Amino acid sequence: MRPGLLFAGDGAAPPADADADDLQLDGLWAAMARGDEGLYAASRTVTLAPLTDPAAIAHRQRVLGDCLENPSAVRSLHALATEAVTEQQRIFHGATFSRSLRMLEQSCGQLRRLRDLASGHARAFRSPGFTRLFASLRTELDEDYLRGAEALLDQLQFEHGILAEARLGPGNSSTGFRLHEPPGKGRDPSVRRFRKSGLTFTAPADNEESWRALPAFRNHVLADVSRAAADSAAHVRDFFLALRDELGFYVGCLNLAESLTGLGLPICMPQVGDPAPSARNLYEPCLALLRGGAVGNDLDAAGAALIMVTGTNRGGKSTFLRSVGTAQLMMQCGMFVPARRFAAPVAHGIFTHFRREEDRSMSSGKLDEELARMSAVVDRLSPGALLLCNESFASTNEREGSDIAAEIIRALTGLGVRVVFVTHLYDLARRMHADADPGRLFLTTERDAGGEPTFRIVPGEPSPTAHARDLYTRVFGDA
Amino acid sequence: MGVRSILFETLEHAGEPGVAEPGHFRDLNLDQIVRAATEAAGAEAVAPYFRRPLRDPGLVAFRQHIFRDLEDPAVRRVAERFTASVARTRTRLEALARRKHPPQAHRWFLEIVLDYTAAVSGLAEGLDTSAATSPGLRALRDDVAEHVRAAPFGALREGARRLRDRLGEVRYDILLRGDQAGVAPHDEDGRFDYTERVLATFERFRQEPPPEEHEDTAPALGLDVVEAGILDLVAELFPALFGDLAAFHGAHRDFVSAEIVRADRELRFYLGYLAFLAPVREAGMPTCYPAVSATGGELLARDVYDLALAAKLAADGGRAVTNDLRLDGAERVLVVSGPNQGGKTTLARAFGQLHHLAALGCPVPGQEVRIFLPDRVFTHFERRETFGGLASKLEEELLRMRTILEHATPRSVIVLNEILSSTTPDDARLLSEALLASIVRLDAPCLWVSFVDELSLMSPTAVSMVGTVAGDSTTRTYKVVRRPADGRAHALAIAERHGLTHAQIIGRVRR
Repeated sequence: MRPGLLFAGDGAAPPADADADDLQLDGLWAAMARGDEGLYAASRTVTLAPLTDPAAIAHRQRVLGDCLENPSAVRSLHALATEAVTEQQRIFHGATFSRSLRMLEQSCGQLRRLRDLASGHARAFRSPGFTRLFASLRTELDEDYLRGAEALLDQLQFEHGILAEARLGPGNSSTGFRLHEPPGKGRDPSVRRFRKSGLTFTAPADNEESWRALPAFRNHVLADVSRAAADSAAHVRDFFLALRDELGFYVGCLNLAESLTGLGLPICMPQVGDPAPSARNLYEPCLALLRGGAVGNDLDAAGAALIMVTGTNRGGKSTFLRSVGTAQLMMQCGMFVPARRFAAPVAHGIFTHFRREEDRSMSSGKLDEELARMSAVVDRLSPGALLLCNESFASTNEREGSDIAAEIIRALTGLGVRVVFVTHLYDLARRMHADADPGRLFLTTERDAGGEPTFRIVPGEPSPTAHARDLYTRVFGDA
Repeated sequence: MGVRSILFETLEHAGEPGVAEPGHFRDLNLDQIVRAATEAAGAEAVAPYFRRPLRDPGLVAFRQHIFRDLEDPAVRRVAERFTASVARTRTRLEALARRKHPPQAHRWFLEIVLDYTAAVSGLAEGLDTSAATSPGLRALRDDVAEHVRAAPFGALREGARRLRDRLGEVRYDILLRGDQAGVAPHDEDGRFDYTERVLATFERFRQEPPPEEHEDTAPALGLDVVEAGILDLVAELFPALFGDLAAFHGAHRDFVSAEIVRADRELRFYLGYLAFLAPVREAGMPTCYPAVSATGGELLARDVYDLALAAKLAADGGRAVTNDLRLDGAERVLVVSGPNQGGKTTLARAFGQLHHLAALGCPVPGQEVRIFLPDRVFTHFERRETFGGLASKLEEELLRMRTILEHATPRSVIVLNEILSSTTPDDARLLSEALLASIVRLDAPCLWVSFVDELSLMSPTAVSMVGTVAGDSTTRTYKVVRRPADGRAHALAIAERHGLTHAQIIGRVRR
């Protein structure tokens, strides 16, 4: 029995690509978690593993749709799953076997509560994910089943002895135990023949070794059933864990949605698989929550393989780049997107190559480090991927940096990798522009009439004025 | 007929008593190599084999052929299964002596016999069906097969198998109640599937596919009082079987053959060295079987390296720098100079190791190696420690050089590393010149790491090799080459090193 809210089938999470630090996903997870560690972990796990199958994304979008319409029911289901896990974690006394039995006894009650809660809400949910979950809770956890399980747990106390078949193992030890149903009270027919055989060993009462050996032997005989009980307890706990974590992701989505709409910011379900990326009022959610508002951007990339963003320092380039990456990632996780409207193709891997703060010195060691990181990205890239570069190759001089970047951009876009490249390298931007390739979109920072940045990113050709060194040359003349 | 040696091609024991470690082992780091290979072999008794270089190219080829066979994983598995079983037999027989409860001890003895007989016949059968083509392993196969066919071995094996089968059929039921354990004949009609019912009840919550069946864990120690008590009851239930088991133990106490023990030890020489080599090869370091000759000072070797160093680096996933060595025609002396930490000492070790390892019949660190089998390897490495004694350091060095020159023949190999550093440069040059003249007169191959740059100009048979820096300042690697080389990196060259040029990226991205 699987919750099936994150994956319709037996889908396993794909490996993560995007660099969480580069996209500052930490802020996103914190907003989803609202201080709850479990929600943080659930949000993190899911967002680090974006999907690529549009059907799988749609599955989550529909589950999320149910959640947005029934927030309180989803929150109480999540609370119940969380409570069940916490209660089970509290049982840590006793030997493995008796602990497993107690956990299973407790699980029966928790499963009953879950079934009842679910059946109360079932009618309001329409997504295939929830419908299937609720149906299986109803059919698999019916009262007959739970009563039968409880009776079995009772028998497992072995009050009237243990009966097992055995054979000879290593060193002629008794092994290969196969357990018979526990004998009942008194002269159970299954034990009568032991009196007939007359072969009985009584553990010497005055012997310390036999005090230890007898329970040890008992444990040995019960090893399989004990393992079965432990496995069973783990299965039930894993079910609750999975339910808690899967619901946790959606509760995280609810939290984020409430915070954003509370600030009057738009959210939307994205159109998955549109070959021409476009957006209206796209913003970066973490910064928006921090600032209490956001500057949104519109984007119409048509089929551009390369989007190159140039412009003033502190003009909103990096924020724009992160908003593109975050929206793409959220879309592929089945989440809503922080925009009024958002459409994009599915990226087969979202990769980042951001300048690291410590990379600003001009030593070849830093350049080597940057190249090594890019090389690691190339190792994992495949056509259809999205690569976000922020000030890449600024750790060497402009000429060298541009040479290297041009080489990489041309190769990757030629291979069908979408590249969004934020750069200060005017030489690079100029060269890319001069290629006159229609598959390239050039954006730049916008200024208002007074020359102050609006923090909006708009179409615009690379201009040398943006670059500090050129600015210096312009102001002071050729040195 | 006995089992012939796969190290010496003969029936007699050779190299059995411990040969002391030769003087040059430490200088060349051969001590580390032998220690590691011996450890990998899992038998200290293998070490003396590594201290006995061969002088007969035929015998070297004999061993190389066995090594090549064992490179084949299928052949190696046959040998490894055998050596593992023999080792197990040894430790288990030792443990058996401590078992006091007869029904337990007899059963263990039976298991040991079964394991041993399977190992011995498995070796012959495994070698027979394997692709092994070396005369050495074929002789081993024939001799062991003969051993297996002989009467004593057959009786041992058959008796053990019959007992095992009878014990395997024993079934009984146990009832545990309070402080009592009862035993009764097995009830064929009872349902003993209770555990499966428990699992089936909670199966529906499983998130992961079921794991592999787990094996019954064998009790490492003897049975405890309860288990032993139950075993006594079972013996009462099956008296004839347990009587036969005791008789078998009494009849076959000394069943391990000395020839099988030696075959095991000799195989370990090969397996140990290959196991030691495996991580080095996995790190991408080349090895090869050298072409060896008994005469001539010719040397040709590509991509040689210090095997001890490479083994250390490989442990951390690193690779050693390789160098080419060549002595053509009349050339005899390689004079190595260059910057500090430029890999000169390492090259000196590699040169010495190459000669010793080739003469053991082992695969050597390098490619396309042609080398001759020296009568001895002499080394003189500068030692950091002071010789608190009669002679000064310089005097000690010169005395040591005199000993070397007195004992060396034209067929010896001499490795000198940074000697004469305790004197002034002028004196060092003077002394070096004189020593070089002696070595040249001797006509023995020599590698000499020296800070006296012009040494190589002093004789036409001397060749200069210089340590050079390759790569940029961050990925500095040292190559020792016949002539110096230099080059400065440029942006695209750096990109190229990371595989990030246009063409490289196109080639790398999977489509």
